[in-house]
Amino acid sequence: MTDQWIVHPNRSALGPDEPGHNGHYRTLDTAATSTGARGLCVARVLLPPDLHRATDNDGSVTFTGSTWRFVVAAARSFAEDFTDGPVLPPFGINDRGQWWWWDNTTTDYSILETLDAAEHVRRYLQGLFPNAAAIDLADHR
Amino acid sequence: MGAKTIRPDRLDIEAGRITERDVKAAREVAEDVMNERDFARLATRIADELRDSDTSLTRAARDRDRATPRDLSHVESDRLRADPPEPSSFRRALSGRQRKVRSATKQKVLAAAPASQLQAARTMLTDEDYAAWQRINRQLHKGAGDVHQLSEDDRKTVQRLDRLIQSYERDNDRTHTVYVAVKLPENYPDARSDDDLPDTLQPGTAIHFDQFTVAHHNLHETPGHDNRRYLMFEITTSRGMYFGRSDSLDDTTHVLPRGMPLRVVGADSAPYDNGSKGFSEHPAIVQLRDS
Repeated sequence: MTDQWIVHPNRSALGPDEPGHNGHYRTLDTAATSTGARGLCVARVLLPPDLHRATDNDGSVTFTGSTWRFVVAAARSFAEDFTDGPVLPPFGINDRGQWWWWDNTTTDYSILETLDAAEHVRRYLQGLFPNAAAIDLADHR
Repeated sequence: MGAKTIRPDRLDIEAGRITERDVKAAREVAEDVMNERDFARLATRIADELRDSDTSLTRAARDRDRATPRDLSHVESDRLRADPPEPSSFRRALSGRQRKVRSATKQKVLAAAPASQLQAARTMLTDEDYAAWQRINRQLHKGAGDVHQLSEDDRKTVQRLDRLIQSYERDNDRTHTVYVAVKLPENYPDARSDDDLPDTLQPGTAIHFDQFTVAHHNLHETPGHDNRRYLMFEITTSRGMYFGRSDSLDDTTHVLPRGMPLRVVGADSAPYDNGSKGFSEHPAIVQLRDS
């Protein structure tokens, strides 16, 4: 039997952030809101000319985050939107305590919490952007 | 020089029946840190709590007079109570068993609901015409969630849908994790990292859904999951009503109640089931839970 109680998709259709549109919310305690530190982990990638439509004027794009995890996810998201062809899998997935990494390795700990974290990040960014002229990493934590 | 007025520095909300004078005093205390709507919301919440303690009114009268619906949700079992997902954990699609359990509760609630509540659900949720949904939600937002600022007909529609959702909350025994997208303001960069999230969505911030909200259990099914001009909220809550299907079709809709307070608990880059036997990744999800 067909279920007649199906919410019409127009109720959750994408649209402006304004009163009456789905998902509109209000922040309550703006006075108590603190600005977290930004740019703690930084990766600057110098990209080839065919990607300069999406870069800063010097041909680079900078990915930042509070941890390396956010940096690699931001880079992958950028690659999905602006590069052609298949994109590497997500950097890592935590599945019930087991970590599955993009290069088909697994560990029971996060490799981004080891002393080699930056080198893992660099290798992943090289895979995402094989024609990058330079990759600079900085950890300000 | 005229006589000075001593300004109260706090409001004792447990002192008894709230009066216009108490509200005025609270307004003076709060006006430096709150805007008008925030203050209205606080006043209605206090009034709702005091009304609940007034034994001279029937439960039905207290419910009718409340500005926002009472939270009837509960999760007794530790096994069925859930926290927000662990960092970087794989967001699975809702299993067939989980869909069936929620759908069975949905069907039971709908079968027992009076015709007036079903008509409210049609008007607000299932009819193709969504003019009432937009108008009522807009007014709820502008009235800081106070249903008594709506017209009589709209108030009845809202409170009937409230009661349908409350029936589900009463029968439901488990926590939900659901998703809803919110458009980024134009002056913000694409949201690809926790660094890109607005200051107003840092951990600890309280937000409020004055309106009804349509969310989904499956991230891949949520409009905006692959669009970086939209923020994705991941809400862990026992509130709301499942309106999805029980079968394998992609429909895990979940309607959240109006007047719902939430708190930001974190952000995460989230790998998730893409619904095609593969996985995708959302780079910066905002995690919230009931407050």
